[in-house]
Amino acid sequence: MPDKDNLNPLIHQRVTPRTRLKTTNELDNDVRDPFDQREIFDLIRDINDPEHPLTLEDLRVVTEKDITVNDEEGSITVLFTPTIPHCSMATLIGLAIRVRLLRALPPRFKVEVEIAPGSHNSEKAVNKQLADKERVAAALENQHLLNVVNQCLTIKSNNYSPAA
Amino acid sequence: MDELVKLFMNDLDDHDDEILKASLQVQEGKLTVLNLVEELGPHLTNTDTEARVKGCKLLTKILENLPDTCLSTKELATLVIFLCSRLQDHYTLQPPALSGLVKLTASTNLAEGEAKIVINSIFKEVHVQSCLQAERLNLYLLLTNIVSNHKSLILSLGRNFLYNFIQAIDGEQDPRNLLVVFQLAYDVISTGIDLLNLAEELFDVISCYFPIDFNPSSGGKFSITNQDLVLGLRRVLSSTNAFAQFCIPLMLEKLDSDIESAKVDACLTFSECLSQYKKIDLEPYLGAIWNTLKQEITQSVSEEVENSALDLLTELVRTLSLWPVLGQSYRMVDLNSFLNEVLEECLTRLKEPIRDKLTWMSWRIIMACAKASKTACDIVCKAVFPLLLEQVSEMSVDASSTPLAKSNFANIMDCIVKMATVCSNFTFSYNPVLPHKDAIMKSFQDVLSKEGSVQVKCTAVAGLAVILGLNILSDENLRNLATVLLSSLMSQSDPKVRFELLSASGYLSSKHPKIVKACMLPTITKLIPETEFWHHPKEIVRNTLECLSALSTHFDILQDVVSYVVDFLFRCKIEQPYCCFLLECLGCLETISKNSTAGDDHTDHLVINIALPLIKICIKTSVQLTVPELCCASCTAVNGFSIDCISLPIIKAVTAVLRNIFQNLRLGKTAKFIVKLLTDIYLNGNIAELDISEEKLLKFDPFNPKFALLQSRMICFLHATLCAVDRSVTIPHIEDFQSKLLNLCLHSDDQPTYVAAAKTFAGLVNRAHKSSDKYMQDVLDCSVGKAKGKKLQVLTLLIWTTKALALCNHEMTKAFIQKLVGLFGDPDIGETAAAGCDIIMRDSKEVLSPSSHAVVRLMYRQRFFLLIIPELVAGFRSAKDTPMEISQTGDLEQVLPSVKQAHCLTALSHLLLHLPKQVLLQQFSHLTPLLVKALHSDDAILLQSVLSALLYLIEDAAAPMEAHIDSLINDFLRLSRFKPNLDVRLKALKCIGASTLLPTTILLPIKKKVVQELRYVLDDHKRDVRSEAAKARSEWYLVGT
Repeated sequence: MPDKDNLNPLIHQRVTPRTRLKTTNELDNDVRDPFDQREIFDLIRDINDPEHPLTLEDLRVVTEKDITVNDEEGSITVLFTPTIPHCSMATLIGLAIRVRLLRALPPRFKVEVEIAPGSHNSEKAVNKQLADKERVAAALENQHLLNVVNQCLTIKSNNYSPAA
Repeated sequence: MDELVKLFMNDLDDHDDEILKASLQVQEGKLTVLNLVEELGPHLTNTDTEARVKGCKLLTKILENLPDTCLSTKELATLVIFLCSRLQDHYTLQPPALSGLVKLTASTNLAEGEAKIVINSIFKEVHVQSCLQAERLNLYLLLTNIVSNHKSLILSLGRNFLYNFIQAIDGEQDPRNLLVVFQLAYDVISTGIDLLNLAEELFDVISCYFPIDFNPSSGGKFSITNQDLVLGLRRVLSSTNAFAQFCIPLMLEKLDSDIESAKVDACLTFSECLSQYKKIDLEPYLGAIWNTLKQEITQSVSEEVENSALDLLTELVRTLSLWPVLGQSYRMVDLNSFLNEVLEECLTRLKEPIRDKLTWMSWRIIMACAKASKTACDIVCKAVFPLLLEQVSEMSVDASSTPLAKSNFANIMDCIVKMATVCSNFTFSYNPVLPHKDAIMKSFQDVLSKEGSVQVKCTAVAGLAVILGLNILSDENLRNLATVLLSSLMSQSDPKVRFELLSASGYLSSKHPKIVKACMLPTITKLIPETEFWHHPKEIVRNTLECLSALSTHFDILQDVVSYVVDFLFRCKIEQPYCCFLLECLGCLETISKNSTAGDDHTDHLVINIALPLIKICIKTSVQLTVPELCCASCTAVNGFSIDCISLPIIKAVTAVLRNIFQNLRLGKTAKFIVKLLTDIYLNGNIAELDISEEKLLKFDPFNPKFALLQSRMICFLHATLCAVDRSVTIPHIEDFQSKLLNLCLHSDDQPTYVAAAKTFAGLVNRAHKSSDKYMQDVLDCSVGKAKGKKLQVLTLLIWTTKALALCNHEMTKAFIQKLVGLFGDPDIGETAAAGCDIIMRDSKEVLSPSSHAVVRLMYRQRFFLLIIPELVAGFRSAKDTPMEISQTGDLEQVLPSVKQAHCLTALSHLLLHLPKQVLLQQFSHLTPLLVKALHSDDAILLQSVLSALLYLIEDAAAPMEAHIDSLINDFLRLSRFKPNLDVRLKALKCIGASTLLPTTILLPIKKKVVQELRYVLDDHKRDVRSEAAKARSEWYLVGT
């Protein structure tokens, strides 16, 4: 058993409901739906934690309210909270969120993924790493790291499955 | 024979027939084994090794074609000695000799002495490890034969056999052989042979494969899977307790490994072993096992490991429960001491609220122990319930509590219910919940009486039901429970809580009807006032009736409720002010009749006390109402009875109730009576039978399309009664019914009427298709008229009759299908005709369903599909070839070719949704051109249905899609930007996402393109489309990683 940073994490109740109720506007093909907090949250809530069989939502690493979206200017900021201040997985989690958003958002958005202020010992260093495009690109060249990230992004509730 | 020998010796190929002939001769006794060997003599004793090999091969081949018991003991003995001595000959003679011996040992005529000779010479002469795969396989098969036929021989050979056996199977690597080896080892062990000091050797040789991780390279249909091997090995390892001292450490070691599948496999294997192990085997390891399990459960990274470890714990405790109970002796382990150790560790954590994983897992550990056995449950409950109740009493949760406190409270409640549920699995003489029942009940009641979250309330109600199920409540408790349920039903408004409350009340009623009758019914029935009840607020009426139908789980209660509700019905009229109230009552009766499936007495009671009064009320209205304007606001003197008439929903509700009742009606006095009554009323208009005898009434003539519309609409009662009753009940004058229905259907202008008539006709055709053949030609000959209104009637009749015929596999189905597909080109009703395919394939609730006792042959959908597909393909082609089409009315009318094609495709998409994938696979090549063509259409609805069909194919039957995926993906990508319709885009994206289920090798070449193209859809202006695109794109990124 590999050593874990946080052996006994707190599990939280899910706050945001799983299904989003659709407004009439959303059913109308002619109305444009703006990007909003909830949409971004839905993209990242199911990312798996690298250490536990739980999602980032369960561990409250990401919450809906820690996301800011500006649709017109094309900027998105995601703040995430590691479960413990000395979590060595913080960079990996940040990277996973980044990659997920990179894959799931149109290229016009500028995405910032940062640690929520005061929730980690080496907050600045991690933020710097995550903000550095070149470093992120270089990290994804590393096949081993890419595999770990992909593992985090393999969504369990994925419903493309052959009917029984 | 000579010829055969010559042929064979000269390496000529076509000797198979000759060999068969020779074997046949041996079988018939024309050729003895002795002759055979003599014939082959010169070759078998030839100095040339190759000749000897050939001779031996020929002999073996002839033997292989003989039935197992053909040769006598004596013949077998000769052959065995001969073949065994071949083993000593040149090594190239071994393979044919071995396969010959496999055949000989399979015979039950083989004497034990000979079997011994075979075993001895094999172990002596054959060096297994230097043989090829097929020979090793033969050797194992040979041993399998001997082990299964000569158990006593194996036992007498004992250690000697075992030693050689271990040597023989040592180092086997081929999965095909391993499968046989595992089976063989299991067989050997289960002969009960004493493993002596060889247990460890045998275990080592077998266990070295654990855990199996086998990836079959090319997945042929009959190839061996990883699972086969895993199960084979597991069976051997768990076959004896002699392995215990070696197996337990191995399993503990594998549980500690880093590989998830190894952990799971170890848990499952260990669970299986436990049933074999005795106390003495297990006792020394208990501490170690508990420590390892604890670690796995609390610190695992995968749910699967957690669950299998918990299952193992349950199995372990179950095994411990079977051990004899010890006194207070020192340093001895038994169930008590083990559970005490577990509880000691877990309980300290349980005193804290459930917030973290460790506490949560401690709970799961305790539950896993409790559900293992009655004794374990008793011990655990005694320790846990006081703790739980203490926590509940300390927590005072109200509206002002923090969310954390609330969620803790909910968790504790949940635990209580779960523990009580575990208890309900066992029958105790003294239930461990009994001392705590009052406290538990009180805590649940408190939850219900206070403000709180829906979830906690639901838990509390479920808890009450569980406690009720334990059968520990006294009468006073029960009365109390009834009061609590009643008052909660009055006060709670949340639909989920209400649903739980209603289920719990129903449960109480089924177990203790007397309590319910005394404590609940009187209060509930007073909720609806005696006078002016129809003005009573709708919600109260609905809630009251909901309670009543939920309580009708016991026949005594049901009778009371039915008479109460029907009494109200008699005091109503089918008029505007009563309408809502009537519908509520009918809804209640429908629920009651649906849930009451038990017992003929019940059904008879319902027929007399619900069905008859309902029919009477409706028919009475229909003969009283002479003019439409008296009926309701929608019906006027000019337009007649409207389609919005208030009576229609009421008739529909009555039909639903009638159907529920009649579906359960069996052949008997009541059935005969009611069917005769209905025939009399409908065919002869004899309504006096129903005690309707007021003056100034119309006659009852429902089959006259021009007489009284309200009466014609009563036709729908027929398909709920005559077509729903059991088939053993004969319907008198069925032909009169059919001809009248046919006439009504074709000549009525009222949509509800002709649809009901068509359904009833179809229902009768399906029941008695032999006697209705003469009407079939009439239906086929009905020409589609000019007027759109008339066309629909013929079409309706056609669709329903086709369904009736297709269901019972009638030979005229084909003609009906042709006629139906012919209508696809009709500009007015083509679309409806295509939608008819959906009606035919779908299970109808109203008629022609198995629950209505229709004749439904197996696989009728497949047969219908096979019949209609050539028609559809032909229709599709012909529409393409002839742009001008003369419609059946004779008018020259230009029909756009795409109209018929579109209708063919729509019909196809309806068909696809109801078909099993095997049928699709066979027809796939015919369908592909149609489906691909359809993808280029602009019709959003058609596109949607074709995309759903393709999605279904990709998800369900991916293999044949593989060849087309390149072109399909292009179409999907194009449609993912289909501007006019949002659902088309969504479905196209779903197809793209689902395509990731196909084999990676096919996907990798197009991965880059798909990922690139999907980028544009990520900025779609609809959110649904965007999230589907994001999902699909993320999945595609993962392809091949």
